[in-house]
Amino acid sequence: MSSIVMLRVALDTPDLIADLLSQLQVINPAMAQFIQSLDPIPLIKECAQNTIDFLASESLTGIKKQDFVSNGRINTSTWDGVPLIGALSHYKFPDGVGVLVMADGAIKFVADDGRDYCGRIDYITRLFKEAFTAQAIKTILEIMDYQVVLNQRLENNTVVASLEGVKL
Amino acid sequence: MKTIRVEVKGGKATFDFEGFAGDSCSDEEKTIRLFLGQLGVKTDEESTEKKTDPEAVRLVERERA
Repeated sequence: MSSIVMLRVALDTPDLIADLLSQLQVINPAMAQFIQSLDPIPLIKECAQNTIDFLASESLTGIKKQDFVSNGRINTSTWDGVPLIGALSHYKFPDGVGVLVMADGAIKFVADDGRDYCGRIDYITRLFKEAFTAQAIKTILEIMDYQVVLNQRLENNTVVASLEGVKL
Repeated sequence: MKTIRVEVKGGKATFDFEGFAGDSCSDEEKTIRLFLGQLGVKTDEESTEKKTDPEAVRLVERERA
C-alpha cells in the first residue's frame, strides 16, 4: 500500500498531539517514548538557522541575512532579552525581520512594522514558514534514519521544496 | 527499501510513501506528524489517497507465504 497524504501546515508552539501520541504508543511504544522525551528547542533553533541561510542564499527572494533588526535609529540583536536566531532584510525593507525561538519553542518574528511600506514583513515571514516546514521534515526524517535529499527553490514567490528520504 | 517523497508548496506538504508493507505507511505518517507537532509545525490532514503499490503487495504476500 502506498499512501499520498496532503497536510495543511502552520507554525505554532511545540505540542504533542494527544490522539497521535496515543496511537503511536500502541504502534511503536519506543518511538512514542523517544518523541515524548525529546527536547525540541535545539532542533527548532537549528531548523530556523537553516531556513534563514536558505532564504538568504536565494537571490530571487531579494532577501539578505543580518544579525539585527532596526527601527531606523537603533539596531538590536535581542528582543525582550531573547537573542535573535537571525534576521532577514529585503532591499525594500532594510530594517529587517528578526527571528526568535522563545523558551516554549514558539517561533516569533519581530520588526518595526511602522516602517514596512511594501508589505515585506508578511512576504518574509510567509517564506520563512514555508521553508521552515521543509527543514523540519528533513530533520525528522534524518532522526528516523532516512537518507534525505532536500531541494528548495522559489517559484512565483512561493517556496517549493522536494524531499526524498530513503531507508534501506 | 522504503522511500518517502515530500512536496512542500504554499503551506501544504504532500507525502508519498513507497515500499511500505500493509498499513505501515500510515504508521510512519503518524510518527512524522507527531514529530512535526513537537517542532511546532501543526498539521491537518486534508486528503489521503490510498493506492496499490505492486511492490508492497508482493512484500506482504511474501511475508504471508
